[in-house]
Amino acid sequence: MKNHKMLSALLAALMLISACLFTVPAMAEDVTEITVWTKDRHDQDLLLSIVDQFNKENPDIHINYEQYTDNYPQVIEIASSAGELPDIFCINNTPMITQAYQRGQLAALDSLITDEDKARFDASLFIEGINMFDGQIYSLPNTGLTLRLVYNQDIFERVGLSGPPKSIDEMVADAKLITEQLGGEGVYGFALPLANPQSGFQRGFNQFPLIDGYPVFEGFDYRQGKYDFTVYKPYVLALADIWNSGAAFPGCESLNIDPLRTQFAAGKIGMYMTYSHSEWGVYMDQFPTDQRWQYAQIPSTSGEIVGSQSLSAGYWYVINSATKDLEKTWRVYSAIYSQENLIKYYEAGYGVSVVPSVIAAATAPSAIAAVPYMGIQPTDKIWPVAPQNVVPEGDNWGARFAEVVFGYNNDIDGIIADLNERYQAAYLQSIEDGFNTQIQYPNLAANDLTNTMN
Amino acid sequence: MVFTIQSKNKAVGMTLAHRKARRRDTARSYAMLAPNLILFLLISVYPVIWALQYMFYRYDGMSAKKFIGLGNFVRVFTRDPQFWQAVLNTFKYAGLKIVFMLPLAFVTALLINNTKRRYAAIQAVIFSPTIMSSAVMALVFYLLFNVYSGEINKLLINIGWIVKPINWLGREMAMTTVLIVAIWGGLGNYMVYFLAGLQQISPEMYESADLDGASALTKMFRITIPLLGPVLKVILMLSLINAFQDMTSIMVLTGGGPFNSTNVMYLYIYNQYYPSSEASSFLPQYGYGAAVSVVAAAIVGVITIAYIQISKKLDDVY
Repeated sequence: MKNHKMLSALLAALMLISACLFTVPAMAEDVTEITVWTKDRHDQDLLLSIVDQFNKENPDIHINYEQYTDNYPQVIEIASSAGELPDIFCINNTPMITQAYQRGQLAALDSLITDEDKARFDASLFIEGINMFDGQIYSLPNTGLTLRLVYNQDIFERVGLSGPPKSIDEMVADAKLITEQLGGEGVYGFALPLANPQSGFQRGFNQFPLIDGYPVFEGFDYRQGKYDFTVYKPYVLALADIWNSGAAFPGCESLNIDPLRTQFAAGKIGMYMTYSHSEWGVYMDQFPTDQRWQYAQIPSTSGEIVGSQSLSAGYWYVINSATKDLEKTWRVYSAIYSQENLIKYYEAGYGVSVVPSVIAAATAPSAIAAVPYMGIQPTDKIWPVAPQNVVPEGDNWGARFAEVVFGYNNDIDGIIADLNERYQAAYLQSIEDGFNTQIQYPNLAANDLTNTMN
Repeated sequence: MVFTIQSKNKAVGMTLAHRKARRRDTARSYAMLAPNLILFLLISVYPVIWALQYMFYRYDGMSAKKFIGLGNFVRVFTRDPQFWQAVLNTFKYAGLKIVFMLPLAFVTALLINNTKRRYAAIQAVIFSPTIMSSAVMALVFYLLFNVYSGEINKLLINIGWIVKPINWLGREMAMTTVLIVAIWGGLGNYMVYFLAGLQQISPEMYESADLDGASALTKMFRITIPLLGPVLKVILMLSLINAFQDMTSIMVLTGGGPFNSTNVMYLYIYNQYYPSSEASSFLPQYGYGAAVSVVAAAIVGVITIAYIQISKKLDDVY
């Protein structure tokens, strides 16, 4: 009996604690809650300060700012299916904004944005298929990112290399040289995070044809208006050469980007390729290192940049078309995008701004002074939109190319033929299904996009 | 005569009261079943029906669904070697996991049971992986098994068993690594089931066997294993179901790779509904996912029926 009493008391206490823990403080009836979802953690200090300040200055609105850094696209997908998207949410990539637009989940900003704001963001940054659909604006730009080669200056100097490789042949030779000379110390010349091969190859490998002047992005040939992976053959074979010669860091088959970074920070990797915006913060805060490192241009076949790299920019946050109070949601959205906040964002080094008025007004961040290639270069350009969400049956191009790189399959011609057939079939199917159109720019020149996109 | 009528009346009265009581009991039973039944219908049956409605459609959640008849099934059976690779991997994984884990769990339980003083701490340590999150467990094993700085390779090199690091998560070794983690994670749980079974066997059986001069092996094969028959049936069924359902640790440890070498059926289905976030195309394939789920369910159904038939024979034996 005594035990029962104790158990009852314990249960009652637990229920009381749960009730206290899960009781949401009541919000005044005239306060509108605006929910904002983000995928980013690195900029939380600034964003939280914007949110706090806004909440203090606007008693009629309360911003509920939530971070979903892991599996963000899945979180958005589930919320989307359940009709539970927040008032404002961050966009991960072009397929995500396209998908949200096609589902009718985005509010057009044209009637809300002022002419002054439009001018602030520059007309060249409003691009159909990126942040505009059917002539209407759905998101505003902030930062941009592209791809770079990251190299360890200390390692390069130790083996007598004066600078980063400019050509792909030099990249292969440098990787072999580093491994040959320092392999005994566990230092390897080259690495790629190929646990997810497609994702790994999207960190620079996909730029090779564009830099060489071929208008082919991830298999889609803009001039022919169809999928054709033929141009990738020499690039795949170059990587295969690195792996076959043993110059690549061991275990890349199961390597994700963060474990790769820990090894780079430990001075075990000579070079790798990744996004241009992230590594400064990574090696300052996440995996601090005493190794000297720099960004460099992704190498090309000839050593010269014949075409241009793709610059991902144009969107950041969007407004849910089902938001309960568009006027108040817009006030929150405008606060996030205020000139003052965008300048702070750029100056603090959270990202490289692509907004001309912000770049002009801001002091260049120390990160760009220290790692100049982090900044956007004249050869980084926003490319026209390639077909979105083309899902071929079977393995994707990354997985198939990885078979050759790791030496499991030497039939590169057979693999290219297979990819051409399956991707083109999936593309035609997606056109038939109505969520892609035939894209073709017969005169597109990789080094002069604006004048040839017609 | 009067007595007979009274008896009849009494009997009729009793029958009516009995019927009322029975009706009350039935109503009470249904009332008690209702919460479970409602939750089961809402959480299990409804989502299955929701998913299955798409199996004859091409549907990605974005564009309008398009009826394609048996198109999805034709793709499963004629143009999807990745799925059949996943099926093969599932059988390999489930078979090897059960073959290695159950005897290990049995021997561990036997050792603990035969120890005069049972060590609760040892049991707790062996059981602890069961209560850990399999995702967290897999993350820790990812660090331990990685080829470049993993503690396992360091240890093996230090004690001189290997010269070069083993690529534990590479194509050749990934399935073995996944199995090691799975066996480690499930051992404690099944050890407890076996222990519960062993403790139900009366000590007097062993005493009489001792009097008859039976050896330890004879006691094991003539008393212990036969009397564990009913428990073994449950253990086999649970381990089979769990092995076919395992997905979380594989997803975290290898993501089904490299080159689909550790992809299993349920992970394959999951990826149809929630494709990799980092790939350029992450359009869900609800229609195809539903068709694959039906084929996978049929495969698991066949295994279950086969198991029921075999377990009936176990009943006949024991």
